[in-house]
Amino acid sequence: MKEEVTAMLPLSPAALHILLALAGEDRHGYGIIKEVARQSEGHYKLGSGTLYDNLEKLMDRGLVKEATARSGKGEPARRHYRLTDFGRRVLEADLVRLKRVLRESRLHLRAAESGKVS
Amino acid sequence: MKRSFYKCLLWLHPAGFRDRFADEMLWIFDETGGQGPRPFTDVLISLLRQWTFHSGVWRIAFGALASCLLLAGWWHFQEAALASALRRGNPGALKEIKHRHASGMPCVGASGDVIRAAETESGRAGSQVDTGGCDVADGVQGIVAAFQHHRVVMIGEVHGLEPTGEFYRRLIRDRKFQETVQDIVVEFASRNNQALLDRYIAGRDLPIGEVRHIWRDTTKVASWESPIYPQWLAAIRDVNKGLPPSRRLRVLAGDTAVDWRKIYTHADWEALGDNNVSFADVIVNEVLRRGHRALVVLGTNHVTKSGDRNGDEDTTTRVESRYPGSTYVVLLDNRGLLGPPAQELVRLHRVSQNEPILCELAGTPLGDFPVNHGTPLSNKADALLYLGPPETLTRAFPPAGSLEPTYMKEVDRRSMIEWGELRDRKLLGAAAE
Repeated sequence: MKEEVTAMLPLSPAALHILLALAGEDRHGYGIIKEVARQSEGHYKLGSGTLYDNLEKLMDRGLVKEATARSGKGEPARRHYRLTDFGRRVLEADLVRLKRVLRESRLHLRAAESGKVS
Repeated sequence: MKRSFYKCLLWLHPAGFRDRFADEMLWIFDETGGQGPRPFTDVLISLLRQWTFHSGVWRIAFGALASCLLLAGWWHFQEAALASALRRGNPGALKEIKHRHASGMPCVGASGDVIRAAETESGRAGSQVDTGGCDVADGVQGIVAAFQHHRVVMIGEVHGLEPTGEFYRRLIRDRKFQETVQDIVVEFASRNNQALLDRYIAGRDLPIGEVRHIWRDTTKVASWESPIYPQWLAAIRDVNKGLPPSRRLRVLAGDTAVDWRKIYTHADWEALGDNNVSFADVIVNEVLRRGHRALVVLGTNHVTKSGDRNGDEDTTTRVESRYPGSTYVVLLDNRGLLGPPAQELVRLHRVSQNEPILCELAGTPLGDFPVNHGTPLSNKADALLYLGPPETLTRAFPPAGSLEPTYMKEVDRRSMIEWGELRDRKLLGAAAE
Protein backbone atom coordinates (compact mmCIF):
# COMPACT_ATOMS: atom_id res chain seq x y z
CA MET A 1 0.00 0.00 0.00
CA LYS A 2 2.81 2.45 0.95
CA GLU A 3 4.59 1.56 -2.30
CA GLU A 4 1.51 2.56 -4.30
CA VAL A 5 1.45 5.99 -2.59
CA THR A 6 5.18 6.49 -3.08
CA ALA A 7 4.90 5.53 -6.74
CA MET A 8 2.64 8.55 -7.29
CA LEU A 9 5.16 11.05 -5.94
CA PRO A 10 6.21 13.70 -6.60
CA LEU A 11 2.97 15.24 -7.79
CA SER A 12 3.17 17.76 -10.60
CA PRO A 13 2.27 21.34 -9.61
CA ALA A 14 -1.07 21.10 -11.39
CA ALA A 15 -1.96 17.77 -9.76
CA LEU A 16 -0.97 19.08 -6.33
CA HIS A 17 -3.15 22.17 -6.70
CA ILE A 18 -6.10 20.13 -7.95
CA LEU A 19 -5.93 17.69 -5.05
CA LEU A 20 -5.60 20.57 -2.60
CA ALA A 21 -8.65 22.24 -4.10
CA LEU A 22 -10.65 19.02 -3.61
CA ALA A 23 -9.35 18.35 -0.10
CA GLY A 24 -12.05 20.50 1.52
CA GLU A 25 -15.09 19.61 -0.56
CA ASP A 26 -16.31 18.21 -3.85
CA ARG A 27 -16.05 20.72 -6.69
CA HIS A 28 -16.86 20.97 -10.36
CA GLY A 29 -14.21 21.93 -12.89
CA TYR A 30 -14.72 25.67 -12.75
CA GLY A 31 -14.87 25.49 -8.96
CA ILE A 32 -11.47 23.80 -8.94
CA ILE A 33 -9.99 26.55 -11.15
CA LYS A 34 -11.35 29.28 -8.86
CA GLU A 35 -10.19 27.51 -5.69
CA VAL A 36 -6.68 27.02 -7.09
CA ALA A 37 -6.51 30.72 -7.93
CA ARG A 38 -7.68 31.60 -4.42
CA GLN A 39 -5.29 29.24 -2.63
CA SER A 40 -2.31 30.44 -4.66
CA GLU A 41 -3.39 34.09 -4.36
CA GLY A 42 -3.43 34.31 -8.11
CA HIS A 43 0.12 33.08 -8.57
CA TYR A 44 -0.87 29.76 -10.10
CA LYS A 45 -3.38 29.99 -12.92
CA LEU A 46 -4.93 26.72 -14.09
CA GLY A 47 -6.40 26.53 -17.58
CA SER A 48 -9.19 24.08 -18.37
CA GLY A 49 -6.99 22.12 -20.76
CA THR A 50 -4.40 21.56 -18.06
CA LEU A 51 -7.12 20.89 -15.51
CA TYR A 52 -8.84 18.13 -17.46
CA ASP A 53 -5.60 16.60 -18.71
CA ASN A 54 -4.62 16.15 -15.11
CA LEU A 55 -8.09 15.14 -13.92
CA GLU A 56 -8.12 12.37 -16.50
CA LYS A 57 -4.83 11.02 -15.16
CA LEU A 58 -5.84 11.44 -11.53
CA MET A 59 -9.12 9.59 -12.15
CA ASP A 60 -7.40 6.79 -14.04
CA ARG A 61 -5.02 6.32 -11.13
CA GLY A 62 -7.79 6.36 -8.54
CA LEU A 63 -6.88 9.60 -6.76
CA VAL A 64 -10.05 11.39 -7.84
CA LYS A 65 -13.48 10.15 -8.71
CA GLU A 66 -16.71 11.58 -9.98
CA ALA A 67 -19.23 12.59 -7.35
CA THR A 68 -22.96 12.82 -7.91
CA ALA A 69 -23.79 15.77 -10.15
CA ARG A 70 -25.27 18.68 -8.22
CA SER A 71 -27.02 21.76 -9.46
CA GLY A 72 -27.04 25.27 -8.07
CA LYS A 73 -30.19 27.40 -7.97
CA GLY A 74 -31.61 27.53 -11.43
CA GLU A 75 -28.49 25.91 -12.95
CA PRO A 76 -28.17 22.61 -14.77
CA ALA A 77 -26.51 19.69 -12.89
CA ARG A 78 -22.73 19.90 -13.07
CA ARG A 79 -20.42 16.96 -12.64
CA HIS A 80 -18.45 17.28 -9.40
CA TYR A 81 -15.15 15.66 -8.51
CA ARG A 82 -14.14 14.15 -5.22
CA LEU A 83 -10.82 13.25 -3.61
CA THR A 84 -10.65 9.50 -2.86
CA ASP A 85 -9.12 8.02 0.27
CA PHE A 86 -6.14 6.97 -1.80
CA GLY A 87 -5.88 10.48 -3.26
CA ARG A 88 -5.94 11.95 0.23
CA ARG A 89 -3.07 9.67 1.31
CA VAL A 90 -1.03 10.64 -1.74
CA LEU A 91 -1.67 14.35 -1.12
CA GLU A 92 -0.62 14.00 2.52
CA ALA A 93 2.55 12.14 1.49
CA ASP A 94 3.46 14.85 -1.02
CA LEU A 95 2.88 17.55 1.56
CA VAL A 96 5.25 15.72 3.92
CA ARG A 97 7.80 15.65 1.11
CA LEU A 98 7.34 19.38 0.48
CA LYS A 99 7.72 20.14 4.19
CA ARG A 100 11.06 18.34 4.15
CA VAL A 101 12.15 20.35 1.11
CA LEU A 102 11.10 23.56 2.84
CA ARG A 103 12.98 22.64 6.03
CA GLU A 104 16.14 21.74 4.11
CA SER A 105 16.00 24.90 2.05
CA ARG A 106 15.59 27.08 5.16
CA LEU A 107 18.57 25.38 6.81
CA HIS A 108 20.79 25.87 3.80
CA LEU A 109 19.65 29.42 3.10
CA ARG A 110 20.22 30.36 6.75
CA ALA A 111 23.70 28.79 6.66
CA ALA A 112 24.54 30.65 3.44
CA GLU A 113 23.41 33.96 4.95
CA SER A 114 25.57 33.48 8.01
CA GLY A 115 28.56 32.59 5.84
CA LYS A 116 28.80 29.03 7.10
CA VAL A 117 28.58 27.16 3.82
CA SER A 118 28.82 23.39 4.40
CA MET B 1 -15.95 33.67 -33.37
CA LYS B 2 -13.62 32.98 -30.46
CA ARG B 3 -16.08 30.45 -29.06
CA SER B 4 -16.39 28.66 -32.40
CA PHE B 5 -12.62 28.44 -32.68
CA TYR B 6 -12.35 27.11 -29.12
CA LYS B 7 -15.05 24.55 -29.93
CA CYS B 8 -13.07 23.41 -33.00
CA LEU B 9 -10.00 22.87 -30.86
CA LEU B 10 -12.04 20.79 -28.42
CA TRP B 11 -13.46 18.74 -31.27
CA LEU B 12 -9.92 17.88 -32.38
CA HIS B 13 -9.21 16.09 -29.10
CA PRO B 14 -9.35 12.25 -29.02
CA ALA B 15 -12.91 10.94 -28.82
CA GLY B 16 -12.53 9.46 -25.34
CA PHE B 17 -11.27 12.74 -23.84
CA ARG B 18 -13.75 14.79 -25.80
CA ASP B 19 -16.74 12.72 -24.69
CA ARG B 20 -15.72 13.02 -21.08
CA PHE B 21 -14.66 16.64 -20.76
CA ALA B 22 -15.44 18.83 -23.78
CA ASP B 23 -18.83 19.99 -22.45
CA GLU B 24 -17.31 21.09 -19.18
CA MET B 25 -14.41 22.85 -20.87
CA LEU B 26 -16.79 24.77 -23.11
CA TRP B 27 -18.90 25.74 -20.10
CA ILE B 28 -15.80 27.07 -18.32
CA PHE B 29 -14.89 29.03 -21.47
CA ASP B 30 -18.37 30.60 -21.42
CA GLU B 31 -18.21 31.33 -17.68
CA THR B 32 -14.87 33.11 -18.01
CA GLY B 33 -15.83 34.84 -21.23
CA GLY B 34 -12.80 33.27 -22.84
CA GLN B 35 -10.63 35.46 -20.64
CA GLY B 36 -8.92 32.88 -18.38
CA PRO B 37 -5.19 32.09 -18.36
CA ARG B 38 -4.39 31.97 -22.12
CA PRO B 39 -7.31 29.64 -22.96
CA PHE B 40 -6.30 28.95 -26.53
CA THR B 41 -2.67 28.23 -25.69
CA ASP B 42 -3.78 26.00 -22.83
CA VAL B 43 -6.16 23.97 -24.98
CA LEU B 44 -3.60 23.68 -27.79
CA ILE B 45 -1.07 22.28 -25.33
CA SER B 46 -3.74 19.89 -24.04
CA LEU B 47 -4.45 18.81 -27.62
CA LEU B 48 -0.78 18.13 -28.25
CA ARG B 49 -0.44 16.17 -25.00
CA GLN B 50 -3.50 14.06 -25.67
CA TRP B 51 -2.46 13.08 -29.18
CA THR B 52 1.23 12.48 -28.47
CA PHE B 53 1.76 11.22 -24.94
CA HIS B 54 -1.68 10.02 -23.85
CA SER B 55 -2.65 8.38 -27.12
CA GLY B 56 0.63 6.56 -27.33
CA VAL B 57 1.57 7.94 -30.75
CA TRP B 58 5.15 8.41 -29.57
CA ARG B 59 5.24 4.70 -28.74
CA ILE B 60 4.11 3.85 -32.24
CA ALA B 61 6.84 6.04 -33.78
CA PHE B 62 9.47 4.52 -31.53
CA GLY B 63 8.14 1.03 -32.24
CA ALA B 64 8.27 1.66 -36.00
CA LEU B 65 11.89 2.78 -35.78
CA ALA B 66 12.87 -0.22 -33.66
CA SER B 67 11.03 -2.53 -36.06
CA CYS B 68 12.98 -1.18 -39.05
CA LEU B 69 16.25 -1.80 -37.26
CA LEU B 70 15.24 -5.35 -36.35
CA LEU B 71 13.79 -6.17 -39.78
CA ALA B 72 16.99 -7.51 -41.35
CA GLY B 73 17.69 -9.91 -38.50
CA TRP B 74 14.04 -11.01 -38.37
CA TRP B 75 14.01 -11.71 -42.12
CA HIS B 76 17.07 -13.94 -41.86
CA PHE B 77 15.55 -15.83 -38.94
CA GLN B 78 12.29 -16.41 -40.86
CA GLU B 79 14.13 -17.66 -43.93
CA ALA B 80 16.21 -20.06 -41.85
CA ALA B 81 13.10 -21.35 -40.06
CA LEU B 82 11.26 -21.80 -43.38
CA ALA B 83 14.17 -23.72 -44.89
CA SER B 84 14.32 -25.91 -41.78
CA ALA B 85 10.57 -26.60 -41.96
CA LEU B 86 10.86 -27.50 -45.62
CA ARG B 87 13.60 -29.99 -44.84
CA ARG B 88 11.25 -31.60 -42.29
CA GLY B 89 8.56 -31.91 -44.95
CA ASN B 90 6.21 -29.27 -43.52
CA PRO B 91 3.34 -28.89 -46.05
CA GLY B 92 2.80 -25.24 -45.14
CA ALA B 93 6.44 -24.47 -45.76
CA LEU B 94 6.24 -26.23 -49.12
CA LYS B 95 3.28 -24.09 -50.17
CA GLU B 96 5.03 -20.92 -49.06
CA ILE B 97 8.17 -21.77 -51.03
CA LYS B 98 6.12 -22.64 -54.12
CA HIS B 99 4.21 -19.36 -53.86
CA ARG B 100 7.41 -17.35 -53.60
CA HIS B 101 9.07 -19.28 -56.39
CA ALA B 102 6.08 -18.72 -58.70
CA SER B 103 5.96 -15.03 -57.83
CA GLY B 104 9.67 -14.51 -58.31
CA MET B 105 10.11 -13.57 -54.66
CA PRO B 106 13.37 -14.49 -52.90
CA CYS B 107 13.49 -18.08 -51.66
CA VAL B 108 16.57 -18.37 -49.54
CA GLY B 109 17.57 -22.00 -49.11
CA ALA B 110 15.25 -23.47 -51.74
CA SER B 111 15.52 -23.91 -55.48
CA GLY B 112 13.15 -25.41 -58.07
CA ASP B 113 14.86 -28.76 -57.60
CA VAL B 114 14.26 -28.64 -53.84
CA ILE B 115 10.60 -27.93 -54.44
CA ARG B 116 10.17 -30.82 -56.85
CA ALA B 117 12.03 -33.18 -54.52
CA ALA B 118 9.92 -32.10 -51.55
CA GLU B 119 6.71 -32.63 -53.50
CA THR B 120 7.77 -36.14 -54.45
CA GLU B 121 8.74 -37.06 -50.90
CA SER B 122 5.72 -35.65 -49.14
CA GLY B 123 3.08 -36.94 -51.63
CA ARG B 124 0.66 -34.88 -49.69
CA ALA B 125 -3.02 -35.30 -50.60
CA GLY B 126 -3.97 -31.92 -49.18
CA SER B 127 -7.05 -33.05 -47.26
CA GLN B 128 -6.23 -30.73 -44.36
CA VAL B 129 -6.56 -27.00 -44.69
CA ASP B 130 -3.16 -25.66 -45.48
CA THR B 131 -2.52 -23.35 -42.57
CA GLY B 132 1.07 -22.56 -43.31
CA GLY B 133 1.54 -18.87 -42.91
CA CYS B 134 -0.36 -17.25 -40.13
CA ASP B 135 1.22 -15.07 -37.51
CA VAL B 136 1.43 -17.15 -34.40
CA ALA B 137 1.78 -16.07 -30.80
CA ASP B 138 1.17 -17.52 -27.38
CA GLY B 139 -2.58 -17.21 -26.80
CA VAL B 140 -2.43 -15.07 -23.66
CA GLN B 141 0.36 -12.77 -24.83
CA GLY B 142 -1.22 -12.46 -28.27
CA ILE B 143 -4.44 -11.16 -26.77
CA VAL B 144 -2.59 -8.78 -24.46
CA ALA B 145 -0.62 -7.49 -27.48
CA ALA B 146 -3.84 -6.87 -29.40
CA PHE B 147 -4.75 -4.21 -26.82
CA GLN B 148 -1.85 -2.08 -28.00
CA HIS B 149 -3.83 -1.05 -31.06
CA HIS B 150 -7.40 -1.92 -30.13
CA ARG B 151 -9.28 -0.89 -27.03
CA VAL B 152 -11.72 -3.76 -27.24
CA VAL B 153 -10.70 -7.39 -27.79
CA MET B 154 -13.74 -9.56 -28.47
CA ILE B 155 -13.57 -13.32 -28.03
CA GLY B 156 -16.32 -15.24 -29.84
CA GLU B 157 -16.84 -18.36 -27.78
CA VAL B 158 -18.76 -21.58 -27.96
CA HIS B 159 -20.56 -21.56 -24.63
CA GLY B 160 -19.59 -23.72 -21.72
CA LEU B 161 -16.36 -25.35 -22.95
CA GLU B 162 -13.92 -26.47 -20.28
CA PRO B 163 -10.76 -25.37 -22.15
CA THR B 164 -12.14 -21.86 -22.71
CA GLY B 165 -12.90 -21.55 -19.00
CA GLU B 166 -9.30 -22.47 -18.21
CA PHE B 167 -8.06 -19.99 -20.79
CA TYR B 168 -10.14 -17.12 -19.36
CA ARG B 169 -8.86 -17.79 -15.86
CA ARG B 170 -5.33 -17.89 -17.13
CA LEU B 171 -5.78 -14.66 -19.05
CA ILE B 172 -6.95 -12.59 -16.10
CA ARG B 173 -4.12 -13.90 -13.93
CA ASP B 174 -1.53 -12.57 -16.39
CA ARG B 175 0.18 -9.50 -14.94
CA LYS B 176 0.37 -7.66 -18.27
CA PHE B 177 -3.33 -8.25 -18.82
CA GLN B 178 -4.09 -6.81 -15.39
CA GLU B 179 -1.96 -3.74 -16.17
CA THR B 180 -3.55 -3.20 -19.59
CA VAL B 181 -7.26 -3.95 -19.22
CA GLN B 182 -9.81 -2.29 -16.97
CA ASP B 183 -13.09 -4.00 -17.88
CA ILE B 184 -14.46 -7.40 -18.85
CA VAL B 185 -17.85 -7.45 -20.60
CA VAL B 186 -19.74 -10.74 -20.33
CA GLU B 187 -22.85 -12.20 -21.91
CA PHE B 188 -23.80 -14.31 -18.90
CA ALA B 189 -25.08 -11.43 -16.77
CA SER B 190 -27.88 -8.94 -17.35
CA ARG B 191 -27.55 -5.25 -16.68
CA ASN B 192 -30.13 -5.17 -13.93
CA ASN B 193 -27.72 -7.34 -11.91
CA GLN B 194 -24.74 -5.01 -12.31
CA ALA B 195 -24.85 -3.88 -8.67
CA LEU B 196 -24.91 -7.50 -7.46
CA LEU B 197 -22.02 -8.35 -9.77
CA ASP B 198 -20.04 -5.34 -8.49
CA ARG B 199 -20.56 -6.39 -4.88
CA TYR B 200 -19.48 -9.95 -5.55
CA ILE B 201 -16.41 -8.99 -7.59
CA ALA B 202 -15.46 -6.43 -4.91
CA GLY B 203 -15.10 -9.33 -2.47
CA ARG B 204 -18.31 -9.05 -0.45
CA ASP B 205 -19.43 -12.30 1.17
CA LEU B 206 -22.77 -13.09 -0.39
CA PRO B 207 -24.89 -16.24 -0.15
CA ILE B 208 -24.61 -18.45 -3.22
CA GLY B 209 -28.38 -18.30 -3.63
CA GLU B 210 -28.05 -14.57 -4.30
CA VAL B 211 -24.89 -14.76 -6.43
CA ARG B 212 -26.43 -17.34 -8.76
CA HIS B 213 -28.93 -14.72 -9.97
CA ILE B 214 -26.04 -13.23 -11.93
CA TRP B 215 -25.86 -16.05 -14.46
CA ARG B 216 -29.34 -17.53 -14.00
CA ASP B 217 -31.43 -14.43 -14.69
CA THR B 218 -30.46 -13.43 -18.22
CA THR B 219 -32.50 -13.25 -21.41
CA LYS B 220 -31.01 -16.56 -22.56
CA VAL B 221 -32.77 -19.47 -20.85
CA ALA B 222 -30.75 -22.31 -19.29
CA SER B 223 -27.57 -21.18 -21.00
CA TRP B 224 -25.10 -20.36 -18.25
CA GLU B 225 -25.22 -23.28 -15.85
CA SER B 226 -21.76 -24.47 -16.88
CA PRO B 227 -19.41 -24.12 -13.90
CA ILE B 228 -16.83 -22.28 -16.05
CA TYR B 229 -18.73 -18.99 -15.58
CA PRO B 230 -18.94 -18.87 -11.78
CA GLN B 231 -15.36 -20.22 -11.66
CA TRP B 232 -14.24 -17.33 -13.83
CA LEU B 233 -16.03 -14.76 -11.68
CA ALA B 234 -14.47 -16.28 -8.56
CA ALA B 235 -11.02 -16.08 -10.19
CA ILE B 236 -11.52 -12.40 -11.07
CA ARG B 237 -12.65 -11.69 -7.51
CA ASP B 238 -9.55 -13.45 -6.25
CA VAL B 239 -7.23 -11.52 -8.58
CA ASN B 240 -8.81 -8.21 -7.50
CA LYS B 241 -7.95 -8.91 -3.86
CA GLY B 242 -4.28 -8.53 -4.78
CA LEU B 243 -4.68 -5.39 -6.89
CA PRO B 244 -4.86 -1.75 -5.77
CA PRO B 245 -8.36 -0.24 -6.11
CA SER B 246 -7.46 1.80 -9.18
CA ARG B 247 -6.31 -1.32 -11.05
CA ARG B 248 -9.04 -3.76 -10.18
CA LEU B 249 -10.86 -5.47 -13.01
CA ARG B 250 -14.49 -4.56 -13.37
CA VAL B 251 -16.94 -7.10 -14.79
CA LEU B 252 -19.69 -5.45 -16.83
CA ALA B 253 -22.99 -7.23 -17.37
CA GLY B 254 -23.74 -6.95 -21.06
CA ASP B 255 -27.07 -8.68 -21.53
CA THR B 256 -30.34 -6.78 -21.76
CA ALA B 257 -31.97 -6.08 -18.41
CA VAL B 258 -34.74 -8.57 -17.67
CA ASP B 259 -37.14 -9.23 -14.80
CA TRP B 260 -38.50 -12.73 -15.35
CA ARG B 261 -41.27 -12.08 -12.82
CA LYS B 262 -42.83 -9.86 -15.46
CA ILE B 263 -42.35 -12.18 -18.44
CA TYR B 264 -45.39 -14.35 -19.08
CA THR B 265 -45.60 -14.85 -22.84
CA HIS B 266 -43.34 -15.27 -25.85
CA ALA B 267 -44.31 -11.75 -26.90
CA ASP B 268 -43.10 -10.43 -23.54
CA TRP B 269 -39.78 -12.20 -24.08
CA GLU B 270 -39.47 -11.00 -27.70
CA ALA B 271 -40.09 -7.44 -26.55
CA LEU B 272 -36.70 -7.60 -24.79
CA GLY B 273 -35.26 -7.14 -28.25
CA ASP B 274 -31.89 -7.88 -29.78
CA ASN B 275 -29.29 -8.13 -27.01
CA ASN B 276 -26.56 -7.02 -29.43
CA VAL B 277 -27.93 -3.51 -28.80
CA SER B 278 -27.30 -3.92 -25.09
CA PHE B 279 -23.80 -5.40 -25.51
CA ALA B 280 -22.81 -2.55 -27.84
CA ASP B 281 -24.33 0.02 -25.50
CA VAL B 282 -22.29 -1.22 -22.55
CA ILE B 283 -19.07 -1.33 -24.59
CA VAL B 284 -19.56 2.19 -25.96
CA ASN B 285 -20.77 3.93 -22.79
CA GLU B 286 -18.95 2.06 -20.02
CA VAL B 287 -15.70 1.30 -21.84
CA LEU B 288 -14.92 3.43 -24.86
CA ARG B 289 -16.38 6.72 -23.67
CA ARG B 290 -14.43 6.35 -20.43
CA GLY B 291 -11.17 5.73 -22.28
CA HIS B 292 -10.93 2.18 -20.93
CA ARG B 293 -9.84 -1.10 -22.48
CA ALA B 294 -12.04 -4.18 -22.28
CA LEU B 295 -12.04 -7.89 -22.93
CA VAL B 296 -15.46 -8.86 -24.26
CA VAL B 297 -16.62 -12.48 -24.24
CA LEU B 298 -19.78 -13.27 -26.20
CA GLY B 299 -21.08 -16.07 -28.37
CA THR B 300 -19.50 -16.24 -31.82
CA ASN B 301 -22.60 -15.01 -33.60
CA HIS B 302 -22.42 -11.73 -31.67
CA VAL B 303 -18.88 -10.78 -32.62
CA THR B 304 -18.04 -11.69 -36.22
CA LYS B 305 -16.74 -8.69 -38.12
CA SER B 306 -19.09 -9.11 -41.05
CA GLY B 307 -22.27 -9.14 -38.97
CA ASP B 308 -24.23 -12.12 -37.66
CA ARG B 309 -24.94 -15.31 -39.56
CA ASN B 310 -27.84 -13.60 -41.36
CA GLY B 311 -25.68 -10.64 -42.34
CA ASP B 312 -27.47 -8.34 -39.86
CA GLU B 313 -25.82 -6.01 -37.39
CA ASP B 314 -24.16 -7.67 -34.45
CA THR B 315 -22.27 -6.25 -31.48
CA THR B 316 -19.02 -5.69 -33.36
CA THR B 317 -20.59 -3.89 -36.30
CA ARG B 318 -22.58 -1.67 -33.93
CA VAL B 319 -19.49 -0.69 -31.94
CA GLU B 320 -17.38 -0.20 -35.08
CA SER B 321 -19.98 2.14 -36.57
CA ARG B 322 -19.39 4.50 -33.64
CA TYR B 323 -15.74 3.80 -32.85
CA PRO B 324 -14.08 2.56 -36.06
CA GLY B 325 -10.98 0.45 -35.53
CA SER B 326 -11.63 -0.03 -31.84
CA THR B 327 -12.29 -3.78 -31.94
CA TYR B 328 -10.15 -6.87 -32.47
CA VAL B 329 -12.12 -10.07 -33.02
CA VAL B 330 -10.85 -13.49 -31.95
CA LEU B 331 -12.80 -16.65 -32.75
CA LEU B 332 -12.28 -19.99 -31.11
CA ASP B 333 -11.03 -22.59 -33.58
CA ASN B 334 -13.54 -25.33 -32.80
CA ARG B 335 -13.37 -26.86 -36.28
CA GLY B 336 -9.75 -27.89 -36.25
CA LEU B 337 -8.77 -25.41 -38.94
CA LEU B 338 -5.32 -25.35 -37.45
CA GLY B 339 -5.34 -29.06 -36.72
CA PRO B 340 -2.12 -31.10 -36.89
CA PRO B 341 -0.20 -28.30 -38.64
CA ALA B 342 -0.62 -26.38 -35.37
CA GLN B 343 2.18 -28.55 -34.03
CA GLU B 344 4.32 -27.48 -36.96
CA LEU B 345 3.45 -23.91 -36.13
CA VAL B 346 4.47 -24.58 -32.57
CA ARG B 347 7.91 -25.84 -33.64
CA LEU B 348 8.34 -23.23 -36.36
CA HIS B 349 7.47 -20.27 -34.18
CA ARG B 350 9.02 -21.55 -30.98
CA VAL B 351 5.73 -21.34 -29.07
CA SER B 352 5.59 -23.77 -26.13
CA GLN B 353 3.88 -27.09 -26.60
CA ASN B 354 0.38 -27.55 -25.17
CA GLU B 355 -0.07 -23.82 -24.76
CA PRO B 356 -2.93 -21.85 -26.28
CA ILE B 357 -2.05 -20.35 -29.65
CA LEU B 358 -3.31 -17.14 -31.22
CA CYS B 359 -3.15 -17.19 -35.00
CA GLU B 360 -3.46 -13.77 -36.68
CA LEU B 361 -5.21 -13.93 -40.03
CA ALA B 362 -4.61 -10.69 -41.92
CA GLY B 363 -2.75 -11.25 -45.16
CA THR B 364 -2.22 -14.96 -44.54
CA PRO B 365 -3.34 -18.09 -46.42
CA LEU B 366 -5.48 -19.08 -43.44
CA GLY B 367 -7.17 -15.68 -43.57
CA ASP B 368 -8.15 -16.41 -47.17
CA PHE B 369 -9.77 -19.72 -46.24
CA PRO B 370 -13.46 -19.59 -47.25
CA VAL B 371 -16.04 -20.22 -44.54
CA ASN B 372 -19.84 -19.92 -44.67
CA HIS B 373 -20.91 -19.04 -48.20
CA GLY B 374 -17.35 -18.44 -49.36
CA THR B 375 -16.57 -15.50 -47.10
CA PRO B 376 -12.82 -15.40 -46.29
CA LEU B 377 -12.12 -16.14 -42.66
CA SER B 378 -10.30 -12.82 -42.26
CA ASN B 379 -13.59 -11.04 -43.06
CA LYS B 380 -15.05 -12.62 -39.94
CA ALA B 381 -12.20 -12.39 -37.48
CA ASP B 382 -8.78 -10.91 -36.87
CA ALA B 383 -7.39 -14.07 -35.26
CA LEU B 384 -8.16 -17.65 -34.31
CA LEU B 385 -7.64 -18.98 -30.82
CA TYR B 386 -6.46 -22.58 -30.80
CA LEU B 387 -6.96 -24.44 -27.53
CA GLY B 388 -6.54 -27.97 -28.86
CA PRO B 389 -8.10 -30.32 -31.41
CA PRO B 390 -11.93 -30.31 -31.59
CA GLU B 391 -12.30 -33.60 -29.69
CA THR B 392 -10.70 -31.99 -26.62
CA LEU B 393 -13.13 -29.04 -26.57
CA THR B 394 -15.62 -30.68 -24.20
CA ARG B 395 -18.46 -28.96 -22.45
CA ALA B 396 -18.40 -28.57 -18.69
CA PHE B 397 -21.78 -29.40 -17.18
CA PRO B 398 -22.87 -29.00 -13.58
CA PRO B 399 -22.98 -32.31 -11.68
CA ALA B 400 -25.90 -34.63 -12.33
CA GLY B 401 -28.98 -33.73 -10.29
CA SER B 402 -27.38 -30.57 -8.92
CA LEU B 403 -30.05 -28.11 -10.03
CA GLU B 404 -32.76 -27.54 -7.44
CA PRO B 405 -36.29 -28.71 -8.32
CA THR B 406 -37.76 -25.27 -7.56
CA TYR B 407 -35.27 -23.65 -9.89
CA MET B 408 -35.91 -26.22 -12.61
CA LYS B 409 -39.62 -25.50 -12.37
CA GLU B 410 -38.93 -21.84 -13.14
CA VAL B 411 -36.48 -22.75 -15.94
CA ASP B 412 -39.14 -25.00 -17.48
CA ARG B 413 -41.55 -22.06 -17.38
CA ARG B 414 -39.03 -19.82 -19.12
CA SER B 415 -38.22 -22.52 -21.66
CA MET B 416 -41.88 -22.80 -22.64
CA ILE B 417 -42.01 -19.03 -23.00
CA GLU B 418 -38.93 -18.82 -25.20
CA TRP B 419 -39.21 -22.01 -27.24
CA GLY B 420 -42.64 -23.50 -26.58
CA GLU B 421 -40.94 -26.73 -25.45
CA LEU B 422 -38.77 -28.03 -22.63
CA ARG B 423 -35.57 -27.41 -24.53
CA ASP B 424 -33.91 -26.56 -21.22
CA ARG B 425 -33.97 -30.24 -20.27
CA LYS B 426 -31.98 -31.12 -23.37
CA LEU B 427 -29.50 -28.28 -22.79
CA LEU B 428 -28.92 -29.13 -19.14
CA GLY B 429 -28.82 -32.91 -19.49
CA ALA B 430 -28.19 -34.91 -16.30
CA ALA B 431 -27.85 -31.76 -14.22
CA ALA B 432 -31.61 -31.23 -14.47
CA GLU B 433 -32.59 -34.74 -13.47
